[in-house]
Amino acid sequence: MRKLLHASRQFFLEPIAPHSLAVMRIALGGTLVILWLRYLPHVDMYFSHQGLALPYIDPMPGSLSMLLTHPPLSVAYALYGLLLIGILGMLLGYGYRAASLLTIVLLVYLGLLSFHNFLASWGRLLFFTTVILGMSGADKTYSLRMYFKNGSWTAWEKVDAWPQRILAIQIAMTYFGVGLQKTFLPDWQSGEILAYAFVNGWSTPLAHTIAQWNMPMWVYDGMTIGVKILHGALPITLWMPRYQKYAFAAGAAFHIGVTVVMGMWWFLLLVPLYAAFVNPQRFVKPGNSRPLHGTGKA
Amino acid sequence: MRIRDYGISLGVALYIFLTLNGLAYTVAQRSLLPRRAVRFFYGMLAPYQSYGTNNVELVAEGKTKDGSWETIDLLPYFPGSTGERTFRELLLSRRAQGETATAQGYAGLAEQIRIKEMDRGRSYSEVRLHIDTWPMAPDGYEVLRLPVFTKAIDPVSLE
Repeated sequence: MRKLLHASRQFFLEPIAPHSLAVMRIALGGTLVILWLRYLPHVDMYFSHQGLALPYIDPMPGSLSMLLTHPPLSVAYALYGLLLIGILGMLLGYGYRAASLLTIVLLVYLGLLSFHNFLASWGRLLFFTTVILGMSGADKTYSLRMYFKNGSWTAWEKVDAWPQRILAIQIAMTYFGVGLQKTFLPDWQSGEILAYAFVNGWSTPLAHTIAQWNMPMWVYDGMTIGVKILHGALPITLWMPRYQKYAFAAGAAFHIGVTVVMGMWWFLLLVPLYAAFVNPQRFVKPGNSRPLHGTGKA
Repeated sequence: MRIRDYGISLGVALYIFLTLNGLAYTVAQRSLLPRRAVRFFYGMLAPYQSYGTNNVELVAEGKTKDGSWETIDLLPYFPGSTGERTFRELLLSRRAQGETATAQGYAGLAEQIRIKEMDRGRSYSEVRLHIDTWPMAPDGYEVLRLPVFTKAIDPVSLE
């Protein structure tokens, strides 16, 4: 028991190099920038009183819910601009904690104002990653912070391990949970679900073209089995340095497939988030690395 | 250990507890905590559980002065991809709260559409909503949206 406690303390509390977290920060910031720039032409409809107001809680006079009254267009643009500033701060690693906090507050606000009807698994994962990375010190390398502080964007300082470990656990648990579900859910017992994924409202023009090839059902059955095997294997192999590159490649191929078929490109974020499984010391050039205590340059 | 380390350990333990509850809910639809408490964590483990064989799209009609019903173009109100539009039109978070909340949501939506259309110079005494449903097809999203294949269903019950 004592050994287990010691191992878990070391796993979560040891100081580590920040490189894996920095890679995740940049990937998350880039994803959020692209994701939210898509809404720039629609700020009026989604976030201002010019569109349909569908807040999570109907505003009641005299209560905090009045904050969910859709604002005038100018205010909506100002809030949207603040969100972009926060996301850019995260991406560049400048004023990181404040930028993360601003982003989180505005994501909650815009989520309750309009996006609650579009809150799917990926939205939850994105938000969770933003919160955990916001507390992680992911700006302690590959950032403007380190550039201004040490004159080099690759300078680095140690960080706590727990945010990286939690994100790794979450990614593994997501695959594990999805794999378990797909094993038992009635709708996942044949390839029909994937056949319809090529022709539904999310399907891309390329997916429709592939559907017109009229492939036999055993192809879709095979794909369904492949997806189940992948989701069963990833939660284990992602942790194993020996098999990691294969796990990364298989995970990337799966998410590229989802993007090509259903246009859900935002799940691609999970691929750079695999950095959570990588010993951050591997990002530091051999022979040029510094001990994990104190400040160093990679 | 320092106090800060105890705090982090407690936070990590809480996260693991919530995630395991989410996993239990994923597998057995049961957990030690109420569903509301684990919904967020369960939600991170639960994409793409089922599928339909029909496309769906919300349709609004406005009653004109002469008593006839005119179809209102909802695209400007629901911009973005078809998939995202469908999610929003189904009022998913209201639907999760039950039939009454969903019905109230659609009633409020119909009234808002009436007011917005009036602002744009199109006056209707009433706006009614239904959902068009038609079979999916390899040839394209709208290909089978023909009168013979298309059914109008109630947006609340989806029947």
